[in-house]
Amino acid sequence: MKRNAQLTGFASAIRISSLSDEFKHPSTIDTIPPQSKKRKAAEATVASDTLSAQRSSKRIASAAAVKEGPPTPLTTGSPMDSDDEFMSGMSSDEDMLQESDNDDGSADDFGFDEPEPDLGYSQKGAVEKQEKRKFDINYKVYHPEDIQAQQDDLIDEVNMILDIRKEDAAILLRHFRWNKERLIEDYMDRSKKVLEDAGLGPSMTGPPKLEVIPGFMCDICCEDEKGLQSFAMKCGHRYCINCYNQYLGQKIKEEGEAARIQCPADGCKRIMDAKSLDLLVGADLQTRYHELLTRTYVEDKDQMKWCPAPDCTNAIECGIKKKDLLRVVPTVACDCKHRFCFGCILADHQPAPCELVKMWLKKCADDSETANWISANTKECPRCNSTIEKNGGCNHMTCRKCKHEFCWMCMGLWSEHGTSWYNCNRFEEKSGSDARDAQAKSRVSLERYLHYYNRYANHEQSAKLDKDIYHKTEKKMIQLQSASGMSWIEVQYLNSASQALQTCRQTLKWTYAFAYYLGKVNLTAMFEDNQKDLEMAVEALSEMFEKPVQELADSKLKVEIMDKTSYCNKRRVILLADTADNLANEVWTWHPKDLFDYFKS
Amino acid sequence: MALCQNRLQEERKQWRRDHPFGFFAKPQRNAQGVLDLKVWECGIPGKDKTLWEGGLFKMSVIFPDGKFVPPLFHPNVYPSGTVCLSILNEEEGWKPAITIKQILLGVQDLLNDPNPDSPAQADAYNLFKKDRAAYETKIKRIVRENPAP
Repeated sequence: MKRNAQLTGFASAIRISSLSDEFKHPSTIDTIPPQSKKRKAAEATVASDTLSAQRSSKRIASAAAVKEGPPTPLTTGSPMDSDDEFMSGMSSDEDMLQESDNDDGSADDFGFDEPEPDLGYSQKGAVEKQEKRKFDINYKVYHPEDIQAQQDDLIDEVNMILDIRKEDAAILLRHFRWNKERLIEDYMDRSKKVLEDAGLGPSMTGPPKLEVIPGFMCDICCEDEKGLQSFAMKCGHRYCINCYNQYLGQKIKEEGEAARIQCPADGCKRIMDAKSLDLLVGADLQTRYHELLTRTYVEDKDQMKWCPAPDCTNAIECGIKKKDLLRVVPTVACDCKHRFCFGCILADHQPAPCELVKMWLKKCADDSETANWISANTKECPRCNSTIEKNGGCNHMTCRKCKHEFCWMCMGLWSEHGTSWYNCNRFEEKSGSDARDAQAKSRVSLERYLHYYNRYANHEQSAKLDKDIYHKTEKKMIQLQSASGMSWIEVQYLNSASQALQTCRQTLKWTYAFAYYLGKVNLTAMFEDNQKDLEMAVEALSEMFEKPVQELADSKLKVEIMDKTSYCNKRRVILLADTADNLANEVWTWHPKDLFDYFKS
Repeated sequence: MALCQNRLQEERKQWRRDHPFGFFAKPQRNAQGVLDLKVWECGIPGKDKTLWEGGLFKMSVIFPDGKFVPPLFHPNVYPSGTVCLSILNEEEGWKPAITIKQILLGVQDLLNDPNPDSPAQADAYNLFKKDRAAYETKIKRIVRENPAP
């Protein structure tokens, strides 16, 4: 908005100067600048009014930004002249464009909302740039209009290059899964076969239209009423409009089919095109059909995926290939705020790679309850390590498998028990402690799993409890406002604290799954240190956050919370950057060592 | 409903005008002696120069379902007698314009050309896969048991 105002400002300045050129001082040019400068000065005063208004809003934006993330360059200091302001807005705008160009060379920016170069935005842009970290990946969010525009673009292009109808171009593109290059190449080589395969066999010309043909009888309903409207695609199979309507309705509504609806004739592979369809069915089916078509566009493209959040209609484009998934964790954030992994569509699971997540989830689903029960209710035979549940009787155990006789209490040899059979007090006996050691060893793997699982589950549970945290936080913020007399902006720090808590917990949760599969080397020790550090910070923040409103009103605590929040965020970034770096360079040691070998082969 | 009656009426007309040799297809009369267009009795002859030559296999078609009565020994016929054929499957190859004639001819083709990728009964499929000679002997016996008039 501001930029526009200034542009017109400049334009009028130029116009005036040119007028003065002609009428007043046709020969001297040096007199012109002062005048336009004056004009500009007037501009500047007008602009500075709006500027001051904007500046206050900017301060809010930047204040919020500070709390949101790591260090933000604050633009403070002397008020800038409107010209500079304009330039700064301009330059950041340019950067943004450049950045999005670099994102993906092949993708078009078509229909992408151009950022308003106002101050709030450029600030945000700066924050985003600052936050560009090692583990961030390039991706783009597309809204339904963008997706439509992209398709139209591709269709137009093919339509122009190959000189075929747009409807046919669309069908061909869908047939080639939107691979334009391959389509054009194949079409140039053997157009006939390509057309045949895509269901666009030999054709007549002319746009699709309904016709009334005397003496026509529909082969589907056998109706031969006079004036019955009928339709045929280029394949010439003609049916009445009612049958078409019914057939298409069934395909679209019941079967969710769109891109591959064939002619109703037996064995005819001709595909129904969009234009013919619009002629044959009502508005509701048309809308649904086009929705389904758009959907196939995203589904056909490997680099595009729908945002899995409920009711979200956006799609994300990301160049990550399946084979890269062992080395990167492609977390993307949709415009609807949902963060998810582009590789597997599950919610954000940094730092653990997709394959590991898959294994972990499967293990948890299979094992965790069983393992818990085994750990709580059984012991192992000291000789053959069979798992034994004692469901009654005395402590004299005889293993059913190896016939080993031992004492359930001390796990020692039964033969050494002598007379004190039913009241074991022989804890210090050597055979008993050896047996217990052996058992402990055999149980290590189980305990190890449970150690990680319990911590993982704990964070998951906390995350679940945090589900309504947004409302809780909001309520708390309102209470705090009335208790302390702080403004809404001033209590925002609670919101950022709660957000930090949630994201950090999410990350922590997956660090445990990740750690379970890590081999024991120095790198792992560093990872665990990072994990510990983050965990302690999160717990501390969580504790402060839960304090009653009266205490929160204390400004000292506010500063503490803000510090802790930013510390948590920083530690999280460090942990993720470190893990992602090692993942990318493939330096982690896995447990077991050949964990991902099957995936690589 | 009228739509379906209309179509079946026409199918019958077409069939009476012209149908492939050896086949039969006729609507049955119901208890009141009225012609019920939705219940047809059909017969499919085995193709010439195949194992199935000389046989005639009865199908009862109660629209929209059809099955062999009694169930036929064939890899793509379910124990219930229902046929597993792409043009009979709405999700696969079925099209509204497919006629009774096309369906019956399709089933005739299937007799000697089973589709091993979608087995429908274990007995016939296993025999077909493992012991072709025994399978052929068995088919010949079945053909003898169901001779064409």
